[in-house]
Parts: sequence; C-alpha cells; structure tokens
Amino acid sequence: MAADPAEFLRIEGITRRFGSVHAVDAVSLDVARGDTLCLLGPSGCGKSTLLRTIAGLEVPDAGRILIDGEDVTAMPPHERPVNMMFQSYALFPHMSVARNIAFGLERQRLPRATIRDRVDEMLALASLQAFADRKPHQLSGGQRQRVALARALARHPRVLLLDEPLGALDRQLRERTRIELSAILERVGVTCVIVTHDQEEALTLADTIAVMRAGRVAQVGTPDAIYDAPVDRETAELFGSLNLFCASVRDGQLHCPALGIVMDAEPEQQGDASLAIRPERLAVLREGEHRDHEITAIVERCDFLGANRLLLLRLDDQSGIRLLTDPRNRVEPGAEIRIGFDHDAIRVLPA
Amino acid sequence: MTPARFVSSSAWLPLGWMAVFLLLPVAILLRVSFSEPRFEQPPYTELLVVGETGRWLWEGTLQAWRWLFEDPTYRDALLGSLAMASLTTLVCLLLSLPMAWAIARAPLSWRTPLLLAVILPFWTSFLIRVYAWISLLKPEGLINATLTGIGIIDAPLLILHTNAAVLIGMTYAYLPFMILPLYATFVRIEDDLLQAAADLGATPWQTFMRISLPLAWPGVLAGCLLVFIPAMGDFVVPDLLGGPDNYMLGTALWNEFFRNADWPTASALALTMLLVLLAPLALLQRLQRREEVPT
Repeated sequence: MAADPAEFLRIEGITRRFGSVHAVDAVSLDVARGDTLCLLGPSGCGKSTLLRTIAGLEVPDAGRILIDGEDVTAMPPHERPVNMMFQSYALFPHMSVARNIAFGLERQRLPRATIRDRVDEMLALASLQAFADRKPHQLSGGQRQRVALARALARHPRVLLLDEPLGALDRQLRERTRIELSAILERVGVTCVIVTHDQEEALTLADTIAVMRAGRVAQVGTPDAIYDAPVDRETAELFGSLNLFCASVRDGQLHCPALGIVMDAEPEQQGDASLAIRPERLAVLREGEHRDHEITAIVERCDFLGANRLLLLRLDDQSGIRLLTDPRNRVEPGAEIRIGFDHDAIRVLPA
Repeated sequence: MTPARFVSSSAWLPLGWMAVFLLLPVAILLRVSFSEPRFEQPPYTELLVVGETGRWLWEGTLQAWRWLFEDPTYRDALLGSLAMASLTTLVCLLLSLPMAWAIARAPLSWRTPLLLAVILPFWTSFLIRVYAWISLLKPEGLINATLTGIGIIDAPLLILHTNAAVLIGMTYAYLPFMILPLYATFVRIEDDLLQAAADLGATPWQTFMRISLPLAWPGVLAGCLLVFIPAMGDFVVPDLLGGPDNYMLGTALWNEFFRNADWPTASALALTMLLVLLAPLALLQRLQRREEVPT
C-alpha cells in the first residue's frame, strides 16, 4: 500500500522515556517523498533519540513509524529500509573504503557483479575513487565523512538518516562539505532526516525544519517561514541574534515604549508580549531617508565583521539594540544617529 | 639525562630479570644436557676434566640429545602435549568468546562483579582446585552420583584418568587466561560500530563474526598463547587427572628428573620444549606486525 507522497515518512506520536525523563515526547512529523527534514535543537532536546528511533536503534515507548504506509515500528534495525550516517561515522576500522561501502550490499546477498558496480558508483558519487583501498585511518576527516555517506547511500535506503553530518569537521571544511553534501543529496533525491544543532546547516540543507525543545516540536516549517515568523523567543534566538523589546497590549493596542510604537494588536494577543526585530532589518538613515518607524540612538560600538558591520546602539530608555549594516557605513562611537525599520520587520512574540 | 638514555637505563631491569631467570637457567640446562647421568651429587658428569697429562679434556657427550630424538617416547609426549594443548586452547576459545562478549556488553555496573567471578578461582590454590576435580570426576563422585541418581546413566562414567579428564581440568584451569584478553579487546569496540553494522543489514550473528571478532583479533591471539603455552608444559593436571595412556611433555620431564634421575635427558627435553614454545611466540610477533592497524 503506497501512501500519500506527502506522508512518505510518518512519525506518529513517538515517545521515548529514559527513566522519568521524556527524551522524546509525543512527536508527530511527516516528511514528503524526496524531501529533507532537519531536526534542529540544542543538545539534549531529543533530536538524536528521535533519529535513532527511526533507524530502529531505539524502541519507542509509544507511537509508530511508517515508511510509505508500512508500519516499521517493530522491525529490527537490520531489516529496516533505512540507513544512517553516524555522527562518529562508525567506519569499520579493519575494512578498506570499498569494503565498508560493500558491507551493507553483501548483507543483501546481491550478486558480486552488482555489488562491485554499486560500490564503484558510490565511490564516484563521493569522489572517493582514488581511496577505495585505503583504510579509514588513512583518510582525512572530510574523506571519512564521504565514506560514511557513501556507505549509508549504497543500499538505496528509502529514508536516509544523518546525525550531525558535519559535526565532526572543523569550521573551514564545513561549508565546502555542506555544499558537497547538499549536491549529493539532491542528485540522489533520497528522503532525508538530518539532525543538527547548527541553524546554518538546517537553513541550507532542509526543505522543512522541525525545531525541537525538551523532547517536543516547538515549530515546523520551511526555513524561510521559521526564520521569518518564529513562534516564540527561543526559536527566534536559534537563528542568529535578535532585538527583543517589551510590549504590552491595552485596549486592542500594542504599546512598545522603547521603540515608541503603538500599533493595532491581533485579536488573540493579550497582556505582555515581545517585539522582535532582526538586526539586518534595521537601517541607518541618511538625511532625507525615511522608514515606517524611526528612532534616534547613540552609537556604543561599531564592529567591522568583514561582510558587514555590527552597530551596538543605545536607545533613550537605555535599552541596547543591534544593527547589521553595510560595511561601508562607518559611524563613530558616541555619535547620535537616526535608525529606522519598516512595519513588516516587526514580529510580535509571546513574552 | 636524555630520554633515549633514560629508556636504555630503565631497560636494565627487564633485561636483568631475563638474564637471571631465563638465560642463566637455559645456560645451565644446556650445560647439563651435554653430560652423562651418574648417581652422585651433582647427578651429572663434568664436561671438562683435568687429564693425566695435566691438560683439560672435553668429556661432554651428545648422548642425551641422541636419546631424545631416537626414543619415540619423547616424540609421543610432544605430540600428546601438542594435541592436548591445542584442544584445550580451542575449547577455551569457544567457551570464552560468548562469555567475554556477554561481560563486555553487560551494563557497566555488572562488568566488575562478572569479571570478579572469572578471577575468583585464583583465590584458591591451583593444586587444591585440581584435587577438587578428582572428587567431582571419580566414579563415585558428585557428577556420576547426580547422573545415576536422576537416571540418565546406569553405570558411572569413567572420566577420571582419561584424556577427557585432562581436557576438562586444563580447560577449567586456563579459561580465565582466555576470557580476560578477549574481554579487554571486546570492551574497547565502540557501540556505534555494532549499531552501524545492524543499520547496514547485519544480523547480530553477522555483526559478531564480521565486526566484533576481527576487531578482537589481538585478544584472540593473546588468549590462545596464554592458554596454549602453559598447557603445553603442564604437569599437575595430566599427572593428577590423566591416566596411563596420557603421556605429555610435563610428565615426561618430571619422570626424567625425578623417577629416572636422568638430568641430561631431562635438560635436553626442557630445552626442546622451550624451542617448541618459541615458535608460536614468533608467529604472534609476525602477525602483530602485519596487523598494525591503529583504530
């Protein structure tokens, strides 16, 4: 029975307890065929446990996992049509690169020639042809990562699981590897679940991001939607720095004294709230330039970051504000400047 | 002091130990093996004597060595020992693999008590434990009494003073020497590797055979040597549990020294045994050099 392609991988109310701790608490998610879901959250939020549950390495206390309509919850890991790339890569140290990649295929009792062809195909996919006979300890970190990926893809899994795929690499290698990884996943077109704590990785690799916190899903959405309309302050803060201001709702109006804003509140907003504005949505205004909202601020610091410049400003009520601007916009600390932002830059979040 | 000098000076301790407890005894054995036995103290002849002309004369002989290679008794003892030691090693290995694996994969809080249970017999003297096996295996012993009692057999099994008894006794005596090195290598295998194997479609058995066992290869080798070498020269177990058809090197050695008082033959035999045991050690060294894979 083939399921709705939008529900190719179904995670239904999965709960996993360790003692009295709910590592994963009634999580439900759907991944469409060929899509990439990123589980994003701090360490200990339950994202890895959820991934291991899909792989069959953890048995859930409640809930079901369905792949293309088939319930695989009770299936042992070696029978699942799922392969995982481990954070440690878990390459078999006594086997060559080619033997590592062939391992999963040999378990399927495929004909020798088929295995050889598939291994060659995977070596080519991961640009590892020159390293087929090397042992894992003779490879660099980036090469090991590609072996792990090739090994996990070799069996043509219906769902590919990646646990912190770039976590073990140093910073310089990360971006290049991320682009390679993204290209490989796109070419293969496999349905993916990626676990990461790095928001940049999530934003670039995912079709859908599920933000996890304390075993629960805080928000699900496309990278744009989550970046642009986070449901709460913690989710908003996951993606870069954020300016937050206290606000309150009175008589259907939202008041934010720090920014001098009074605007119509949404009907469901009550009591205290937070106004959030991303630093890049603020602009330093020149003579004659205008925005929906404008205030004056004192420059405290002006830091050159290369691609842009970060201004730390202080408002009249002494609250601080961060502004990201063109690196050519140089201002002196102590100067008073006019800054502004458009109305659609404002996000109202629960306090 | 430079590091190199420090290393070379600290190497004197093991070298000194070797010189006193290995090279010196070997030299003495070698010297005795060229003598002839005699019923005096010491029970062997001098190699160099002062002749009537006042010159040194060589009185040594190769008789003991010739004896060793011509009399089939010694060859049979060597073959008997080889067979029994190999069999003991094999049985120990087969028993230890699941046991060591179970201990290494047990929850952390269980491992120490389980390891302790493996080592616990060492609290009691080896000799006493072998004697205990006599009373277990003898016709009216606990094992036969139980088996006849519950009606599995009519007449008691004659185990004591057979090769089976020697195998049982030696397996029992040397099992910990196999379990411990196996455990030490099994316990270092990362859980991730086993899970990755399962994830790639390997059943638990396939994972054990293709991942765990190859990675534990150094432990297997070490365990086999630790069992095989003492089993080759064992005297206590074959003497106490074995029978007349059970002639092994240890027994032959004891007979030459104490029963026949033929020290030269005994010395030659002891040296031969030493050489035979050097072969597996050399093999181990070669295998380890080939297997140098940092994990």
